[in-house]
Amino acid sequence: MLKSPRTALAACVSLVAVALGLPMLLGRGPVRADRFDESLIDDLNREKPEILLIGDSMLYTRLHLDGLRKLAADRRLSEYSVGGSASATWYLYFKNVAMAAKRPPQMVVFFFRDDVWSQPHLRTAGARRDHLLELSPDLTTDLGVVPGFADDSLTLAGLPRRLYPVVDFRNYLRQRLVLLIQDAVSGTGSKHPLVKERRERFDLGNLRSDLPAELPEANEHTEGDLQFDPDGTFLPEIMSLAADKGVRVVLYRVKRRPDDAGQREESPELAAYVASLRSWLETRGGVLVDESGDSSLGLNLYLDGDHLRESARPAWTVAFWRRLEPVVKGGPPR
Amino acid sequence: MIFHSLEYVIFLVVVFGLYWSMGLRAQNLLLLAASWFFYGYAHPAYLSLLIGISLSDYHWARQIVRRPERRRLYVTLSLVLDFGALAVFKYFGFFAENVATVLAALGLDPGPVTLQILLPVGISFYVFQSSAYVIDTYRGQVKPAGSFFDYALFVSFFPQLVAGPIERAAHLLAALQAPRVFRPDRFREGFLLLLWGYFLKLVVADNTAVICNRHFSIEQTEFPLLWSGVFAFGVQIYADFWAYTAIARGTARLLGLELVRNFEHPYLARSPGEFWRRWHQSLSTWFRDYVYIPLGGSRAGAAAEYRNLFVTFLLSGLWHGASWNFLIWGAYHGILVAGQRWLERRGVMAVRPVNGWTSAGRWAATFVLIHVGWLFFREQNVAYLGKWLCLNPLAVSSGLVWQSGLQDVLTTAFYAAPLWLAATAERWWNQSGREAMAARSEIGRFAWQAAAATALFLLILLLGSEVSADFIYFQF
Repeated sequence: MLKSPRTALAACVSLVAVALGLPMLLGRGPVRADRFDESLIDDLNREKPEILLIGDSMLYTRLHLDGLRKLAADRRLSEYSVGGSASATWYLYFKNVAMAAKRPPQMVVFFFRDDVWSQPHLRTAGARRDHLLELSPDLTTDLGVVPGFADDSLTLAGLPRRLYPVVDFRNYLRQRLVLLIQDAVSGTGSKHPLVKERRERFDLGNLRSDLPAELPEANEHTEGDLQFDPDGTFLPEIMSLAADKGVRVVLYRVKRRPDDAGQREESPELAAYVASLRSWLETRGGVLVDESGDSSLGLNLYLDGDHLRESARPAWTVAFWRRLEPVVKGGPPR
Repeated sequence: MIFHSLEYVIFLVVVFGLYWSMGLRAQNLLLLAASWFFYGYAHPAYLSLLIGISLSDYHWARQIVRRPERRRLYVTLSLVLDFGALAVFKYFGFFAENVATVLAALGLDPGPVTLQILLPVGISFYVFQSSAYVIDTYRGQVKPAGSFFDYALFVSFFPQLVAGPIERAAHLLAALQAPRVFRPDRFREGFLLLLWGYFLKLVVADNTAVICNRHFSIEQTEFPLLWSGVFAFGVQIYADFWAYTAIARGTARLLGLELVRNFEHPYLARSPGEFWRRWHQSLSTWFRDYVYIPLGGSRAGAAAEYRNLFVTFLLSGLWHGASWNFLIWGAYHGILVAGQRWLERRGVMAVRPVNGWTSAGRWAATFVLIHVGWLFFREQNVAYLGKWLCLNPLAVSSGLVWQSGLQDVLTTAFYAAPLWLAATAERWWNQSGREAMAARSEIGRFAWQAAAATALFLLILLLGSEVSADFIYFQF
């Protein structure tokens, strides 16, 4: 033990300072890599979609892509869906990937629930932020198009990330670990079949019905502030970019989980919100398609939360195309 | 309040600063106020239950000493109140639900018998700690506390209140009544222990929880997938519980107090009995001293010993939770430990392994048996439990499924590696490390501690899971 109490105390303080202070120096400056994933643009340049579908699990737990491709035989289709994503992800993909493609799609369809557009901060923190970094070369500027939007690094929750930028490498390390182990497990063969097997096995469609879904994207979405203020959303920027490139924007509102009779109660406030959104969109050349009043989408089609069963997807896709086809042909939705 | 939250860090810094600027009486009052604040932070209503149990047991213990001729009555009253509270808050819903099921099966209308009560966090831990104090007083093993505030602090000491270790009055109450001095070397050890606890929780437990939850959330699974999920759970629950204990012990050490250890590398055990001597030691010894030995232990012959072991483990399972899977888990371990004793009595199994090969074989068999038990523990739906036990390793749909299971086993093993490293490091420490470190200069020791602390914190930053759940043992 140190003889002088003052020295001993200084050693305690130094220990805490060194342990918590040194990691602050890591990951700053040039070491912090640009995370924007340009391969997404390459993918789109290769696929050259005429119609691009963007959304969260509402999209991929509904759509039967091969079925839709058959229905829209003469049109190229692509989809970009990320479970648990929200409007910030969709906007960044639209702006930095879809609009940056050599030949942008002619039509972009965004899948959404209720008032999600008015919650631009939704799912932009924590691990979600790592994903947003892959969709934007300059995240702060991109998200700053919504007045008052604070990058999470400026909030209390984002304080650790601000103090310790090395945290931004977490996702990268995790992905490297997964790839390393998949390579080891796959041996000399390709790891793609393994990736496919896991994707299908752990698909939301295979979730147990007796458990409350533990995945964040399966959680019930809650209504936010039911006032449609376009300036508080990414929509003006989306419409402006779309107008510049001659892209038609469609917002597709999905029907949320109905009651036993197949109905979904809708508050007058929410109905007014959707009407305001529709009106605003249509004056800017956009289209809102709303399936929430479709009584044929009964409870038996739903698995957990607002997700559909895998067996319901082909029929849903047919109904979806029936609604969308007139819009694709330039008319109003059916 | 939970340990891995910003609130707790701020709370601890404030308590620590005030604590070391006070005298003993004020220190204890501060700790009591802090503990009650800590407990009531989320659900203030349940604070009254904690205070009520403290008051009741404090009173009955004093009565036992004041009127020894009626001590049997007093200890009975105390235990009825303690375990009555536990029964109402923890088990009534389970009991009512099963009675209703039986009545409905008999064609009778059960009526509205279910009582929906939110389980008070940590009730099983503090009821056990407090009741042990009354029993020890009854047995004349401890003197009753002179001050209610000291006793209330013993029951509600915040580092170990919610998930143990379950302390004995002879140790913690005595320590709380003795003066404490700030020792820088203990502070440094406490700080390292805290970081180790956070590392275990945020890196090991939370990352393996993601793997485990994924496997237990799907409808269609297969043998390799299910068991890779069980392996992940085995690592998760150990790291999660050890993390809680390490943070509790680290916090206590910062405050100049020492808590019991609770774990001693249980996955190195070479028999089920040894596992229980290494796992959750404060609970195992509680059941040994207050259930198994009073039942007769091994004194009344082989058959009685097997029965006593079985009953003890069955109750231990019930302690973990009011559901059938915990009862099955307890019964399973009762059978394992009683079975081990049976084999030992018959000479089929040596009390200690005779050579390296038998040692390795027994370690492997114990590891597998313990993990089979974790399946009972993790799967709360008994119907699914039956389904999982019927999965056939020879009926796996494709080689990809084995690859997928192996991927999760390797990922879990990656996160579990520090647990094995810690066991190796501890062996080195006990054999030669302690002397080697003592022989170093103070600067050298400081450099080692600083390097270890920085590395732990950096690993938390780099490998910590973005999704962090409550500690598993909070639910008990």
